Amino acid sequence: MSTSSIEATSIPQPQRPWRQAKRAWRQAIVMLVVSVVGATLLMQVTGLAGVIGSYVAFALVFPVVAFLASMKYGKKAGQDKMASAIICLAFGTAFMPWMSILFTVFNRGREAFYSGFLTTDMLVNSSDQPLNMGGLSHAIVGTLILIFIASMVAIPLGIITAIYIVEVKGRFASYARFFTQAMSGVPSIVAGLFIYTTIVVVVFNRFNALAGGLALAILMLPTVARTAEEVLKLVPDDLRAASYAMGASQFSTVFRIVLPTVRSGLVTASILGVARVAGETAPLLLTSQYFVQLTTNILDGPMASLPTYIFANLGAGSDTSVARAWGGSAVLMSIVFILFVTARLLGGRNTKSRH
Amino acid sequence: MESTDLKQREIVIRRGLADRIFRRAMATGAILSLSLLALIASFLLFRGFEVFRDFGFSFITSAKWDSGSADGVTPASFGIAAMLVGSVVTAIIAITVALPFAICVALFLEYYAPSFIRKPLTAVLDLVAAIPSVIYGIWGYTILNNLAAGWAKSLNSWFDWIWFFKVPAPIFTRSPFIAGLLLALMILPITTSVAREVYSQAPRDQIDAAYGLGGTKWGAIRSVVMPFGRSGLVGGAMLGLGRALGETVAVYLVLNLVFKINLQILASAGGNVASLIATRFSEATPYELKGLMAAGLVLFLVTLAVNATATLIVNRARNTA
Amino acid sequence: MSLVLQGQVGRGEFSREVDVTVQHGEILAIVGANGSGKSTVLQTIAGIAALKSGRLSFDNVVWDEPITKIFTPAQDRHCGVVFQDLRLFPHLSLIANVAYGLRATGLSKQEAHARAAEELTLVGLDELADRKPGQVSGGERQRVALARALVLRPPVLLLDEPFASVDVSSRQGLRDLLPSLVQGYQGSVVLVSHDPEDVQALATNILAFG
Repeated sequence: MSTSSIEATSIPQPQRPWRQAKRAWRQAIVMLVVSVVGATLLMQVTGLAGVIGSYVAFALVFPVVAFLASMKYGKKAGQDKMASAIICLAFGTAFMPWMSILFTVFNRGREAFYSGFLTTDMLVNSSDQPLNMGGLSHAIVGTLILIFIASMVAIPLGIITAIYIVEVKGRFASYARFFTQAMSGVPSIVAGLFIYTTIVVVVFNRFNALAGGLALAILMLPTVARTAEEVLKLVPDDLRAASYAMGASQFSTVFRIVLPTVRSGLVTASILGVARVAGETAPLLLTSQYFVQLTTNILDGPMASLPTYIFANLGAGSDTSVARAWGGSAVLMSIVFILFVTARLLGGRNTKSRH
Repeated sequence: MESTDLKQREIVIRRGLADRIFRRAMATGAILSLSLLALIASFLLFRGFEVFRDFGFSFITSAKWDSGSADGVTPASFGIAAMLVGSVVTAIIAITVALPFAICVALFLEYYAPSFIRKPLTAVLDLVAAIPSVIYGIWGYTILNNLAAGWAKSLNSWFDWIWFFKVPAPIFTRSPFIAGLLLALMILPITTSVAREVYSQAPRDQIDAAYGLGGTKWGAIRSVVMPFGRSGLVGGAMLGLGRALGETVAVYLVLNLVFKINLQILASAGGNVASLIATRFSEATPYELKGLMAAGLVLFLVTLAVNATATLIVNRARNTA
Repeated sequence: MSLVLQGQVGRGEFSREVDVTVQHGEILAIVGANGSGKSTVLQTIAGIAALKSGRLSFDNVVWDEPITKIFTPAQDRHCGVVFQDLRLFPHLSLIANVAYGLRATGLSKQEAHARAAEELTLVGLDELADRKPGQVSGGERQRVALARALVLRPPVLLLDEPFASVDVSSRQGLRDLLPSLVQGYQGSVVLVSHDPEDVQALATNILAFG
């Protein structure tokens, strides 16, 4: 029993680990048993039921048991134990839905997979045909094209904005920093509307992938700019001073010294930007829309993408089309995860993404 | 005493041609990305202006959204009150649910988790922050919807003496409550990461002092960490609120779009401005499109205001640390 | 005709009065304890820090004068600087480090690398030219920093604790090398060190900072 009070107050005391551990285990088991009994009683009274109901009952009872168990060391020790219990339980609870999402996506996504799922499009197949016909090659290609267009615009512009803020430190630097931060909160559908009224309606007079890419670029820009800004700030001023002292201009200082030293960080910034927009749906509904066939013409007509493929198949409503939507989700999720892990591996610990 | 650091002193430097071009080019790029916000606002205003002119203030206060009949017998009528209220209600539910969890997860990661799992858990948190909204949507639509309808039923049976837990009919799916829960899950990573950042900056010496005076871990957190992180936490919550206000597909998939102001959060009726735009866009008449542009402008201005305020608060919390 | 610095140098709260004149071909050594402002003097001359008051000029060209707001940026002063912490560019090879300043003067890559190679030979590093700074020893890095400053044939050469980051064994070698490099050098040299022994062999004048 005394282990808990040592932890709680963290007063160093002579330790006899073998005995303490045994006692701690015994206490934990007693607390668990009491909590389970309490939770069962609570379920009888309130009508909570099922797996989640039992968990909720347990989560309500356990902190109270923890409080009571430590009460004999004083009220403060009791509160401390209860707070620990609540915080740990809340943490566990928060992660459950995400685990459920990941599990469901890959579990149900498996259903749609067959040898041709990644290599055929839906031109000759309707979405409620059996799952061994058709696939989402068109959506994968479309997403890659859209991401490519968005990157071509957002990565240079984002890095230039970061250079302006950190290196040039011009008159508008503080505004540029503030508004790129604020821009990260622009609702994606608004970016879609904007591109629709300008690019789709005025310039091309038709839906196309270029418009979709540009809408994604608006959403990608703040992520790239903010992360690149953080990365550039990591370059020590001493290095810049050394470059100037050798007679170099700011231009060559930035392009030959600053940018090369943080190359991997900038790659990370770009990948995080891509991961941010790879799954965007709303702006694409208004710009590149959805199409059943693999197309590569970015100027003429709608183009499929993974998010809109999921959305369209979910909307179609039949069992097989919903299965296709889950399959699409699994593919999309894998792509986002691969991007994300790549960014982490390249960027190391220093690169923090900013919102 | 006058300070004469290089950065502070006003210095007239004549730069070389390459540098002048370089600086001009970078400034142009930065101003271009800066002016995007202004461009968005002005284009939406330009396109939606006719609707603002025709309906005036009732565009905000009326709950009726009707594109009218093609023959002109029923005139079009556009008002986004129901959708605005829906946006706010779902966002408030989201932040109310998400905030306590964000605090607990942040405290757990900073002060409770054993150090060897802290890094992997943080990585997982960053990872789930990148889950696309359409995936939240499909999960919410197929899994959460049914689960949470059951919870809503229980809430309704226990608390139906509170007016906003009442329902007109016993249908509990696709309600603002469920949309709010899904949004809570979506904004939890960003709110948590801001909370973590401010909590991690709490002064170590004061925490040690609180311990040293015979306090408990929770005592130190309550008396030092939480007060220190309060303003940053408000900023983080507002960032989350801004995201929740503007979410489209996830809400579209789990909320039943009804053009009626609904404050009964368990009832199967609601909507938000973003999902209104996504729903009506594909079959909108030219005039209705202008209405959607106007709605988009309102949404843009509201989220921008929330976000700018949040950004100010978070930046101040970062800098004072 | 010389480097003249009269006035207050300092950063932030710190400041101290300085009055130094260095003729062409002269080697001034500033010795003193850490924190006495020796390095700040060098940074002020190099153009990385600014004067608080007074005047800095070279050959009657004003480099820094707060009262008239004249300030010549570091890149236009063409000083050769060896920093205390060296500050080699980590992503560039040794030869590219040495050639960097030359390229900034407008030389082509070929010419710059040719001259950098000569300079590296002088300091005995020609065989390591393609390594990165992280792949060579501390003494070798120190010599690269010297070569990088000297290759520019700068009118003003600033050496900040040129022996500080070197282990004892290579310290003597460097001490022997430096005079031969500086011999016959026509510019003004300012050398900063906390160790009087370092400067004895080199300096023509010694200034003590308290």
